[in-house]
Amino acid sequence: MAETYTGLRWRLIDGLIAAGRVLRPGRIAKAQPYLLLLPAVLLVSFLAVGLLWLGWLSIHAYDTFLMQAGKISAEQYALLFEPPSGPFYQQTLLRTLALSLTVTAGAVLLGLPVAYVIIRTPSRALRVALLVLLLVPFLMGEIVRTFAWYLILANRGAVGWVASLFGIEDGGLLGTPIGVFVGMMQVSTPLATLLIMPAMRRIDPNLERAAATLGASPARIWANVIVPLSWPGIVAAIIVVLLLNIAEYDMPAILGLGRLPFVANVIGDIYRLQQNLYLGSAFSLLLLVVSTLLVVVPGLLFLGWLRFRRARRAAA
Amino acid sequence: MTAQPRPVPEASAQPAIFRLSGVVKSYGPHNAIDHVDLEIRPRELFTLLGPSGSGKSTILRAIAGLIGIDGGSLTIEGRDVRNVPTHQRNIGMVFQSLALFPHMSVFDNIAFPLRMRREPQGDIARRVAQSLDIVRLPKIAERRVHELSGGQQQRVALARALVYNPKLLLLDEPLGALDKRLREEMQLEIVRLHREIDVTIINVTHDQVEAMVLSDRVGVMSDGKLMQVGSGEVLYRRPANRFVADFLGRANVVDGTLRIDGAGPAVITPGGARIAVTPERQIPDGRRATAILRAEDIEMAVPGDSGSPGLGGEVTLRLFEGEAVYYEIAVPGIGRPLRVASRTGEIPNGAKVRLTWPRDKVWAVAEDSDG
Repeated sequence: MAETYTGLRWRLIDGLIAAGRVLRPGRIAKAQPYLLLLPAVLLVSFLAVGLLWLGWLSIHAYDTFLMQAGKISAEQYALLFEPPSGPFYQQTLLRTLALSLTVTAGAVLLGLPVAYVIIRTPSRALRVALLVLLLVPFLMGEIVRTFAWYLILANRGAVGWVASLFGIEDGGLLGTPIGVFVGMMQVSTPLATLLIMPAMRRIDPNLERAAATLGASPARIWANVIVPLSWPGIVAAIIVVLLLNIAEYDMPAILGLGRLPFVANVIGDIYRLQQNLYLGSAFSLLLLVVSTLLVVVPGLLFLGWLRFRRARRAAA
Repeated sequence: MTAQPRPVPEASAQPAIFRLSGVVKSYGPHNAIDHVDLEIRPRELFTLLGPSGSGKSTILRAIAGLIGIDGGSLTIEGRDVRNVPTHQRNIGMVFQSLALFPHMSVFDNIAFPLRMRREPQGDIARRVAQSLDIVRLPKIAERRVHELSGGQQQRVALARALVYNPKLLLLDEPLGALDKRLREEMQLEIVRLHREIDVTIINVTHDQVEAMVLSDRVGVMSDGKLMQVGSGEVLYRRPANRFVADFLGRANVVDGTLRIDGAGPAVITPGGARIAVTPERQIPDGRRATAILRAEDIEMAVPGDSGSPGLGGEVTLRLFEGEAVYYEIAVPGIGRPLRVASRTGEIPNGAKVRLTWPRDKVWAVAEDSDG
């Protein structure tokens, strides 16, 4: 009995060695880069399948009364653009874009000096402390953070109280674009700062000193040296912050009191309340297309301009 | 050969264009600039020389207004500029890293100071072309900075700092990172520019050869203090203190007590060795003093030749250096071996030798003159 057991054990080890010879470290090493890509490829594939499914749903008719899918048609897209409901959806899209763009611009404008101060802080301890402060908003949950703003912005909260000191009743900012703006800025500004910092860190501080000796005032050093050299970080910040804000859900729902729904809120309502997967899919895809264009078109224009400038320089 | 100071530059008769008096800059308890007084004359090429951390770059930054000062005054052409921000001081500065703007072409780099001054477009093009001519780099205006060689970048940085005709040009070790050949080429370039253009230059370096070759006058710095100002030759032959003597060239600094007897002044070491010093030096009898003896001024001979005078010693180190042979000689009564640079270098390691030198080549400084 014991002998058979030992024999089996040896056979097992022989097997392992044989398997190891087949899967030689050399072979594994060669395949390794592709193996490491596997999770990402799987993730992207699932996303692609989901998107195709959305696209497939969005081009079907749907009878909302019988709750029954119909033939292939552009009906859902027509609903998004034509009266009676079209204007509401378009208004929602416009509001989403307007607020997202404003918040993005604000976050980048505020993020630039914040990034600069953190990077140029000489004391390492202070710099780390500032970075941690910057990360605090990400450390608390989104809902906790949003409700904290709810308390601040409410009529009987901090803002309302200050307004009442000036004789304004119900001066809270809940349900107003400003309220939503403030809430979104609070997340977007640290994010923009973090994205700008790597590019800004590469700027040699002597460039600023040189610009000063050459006659540039602090404002012109910013305009002519710091901002142009931070450009890669600024572009990254614009893209990431804009896309995150376009898909924003919590802030309009909670701080906007539902009065200022974003596209994500409306899509949620379509799915949950109307239970209309087909219209929801169409609106989702519309948002995807619009936000993609919003990033890609300016990008292409910029690249074209760069090429034009280089050509002109070569011609000169 | 007696030491002669270099001819005084013609500029010296004019009043100072730039003056530091009692300037102090402290970081905590440490003074990075420690009560420095300095006058720079118009059209002078002045060099601040010192080891790293001696405060020479700090002075340059204070002059440019990149750092504030904690005491004293700073005047340019009689005007106190202490409260004038950097961009209004109209000073040219070339940084060690050159600090060319990487996102701009050569033209835009040189045009930058003119644009900051809102010069008309046509003037800008003309003056940029002119200044590229001056640094002998025509036809590269449209290139990007990173497409240039190290030497070309140096010239562009110089052109950018000169294009707006600043009264004062500050050079913060711009040649420090170059290899030897390129550095010598750029040194000549700076001398040539200085001759051709009406500009006063303050250069900072830790390279004593560069300092002596380039400059009308040199100021030696140590630990935030300006130790001595003078022509390179004066600093080399007549150092004001032990530090300057030790820093420049290869000197033997021998501590002892100054005695004046029938044979003239001499420094007597605690070990009893006697080093006669030049009578030119007035140090009272009995003061603690340091004799300064240049390695290249010492003659070395094998004893027994003629029962020769001088100090006896033994060769402890012989290094072939190319143009000279470097020796270290242990001499009884002197703590540190004496350093000798010999042209012939025939004497082998371990040999007994006698050392002699012309007495007027031996300088001496009193001990407390370190300041």
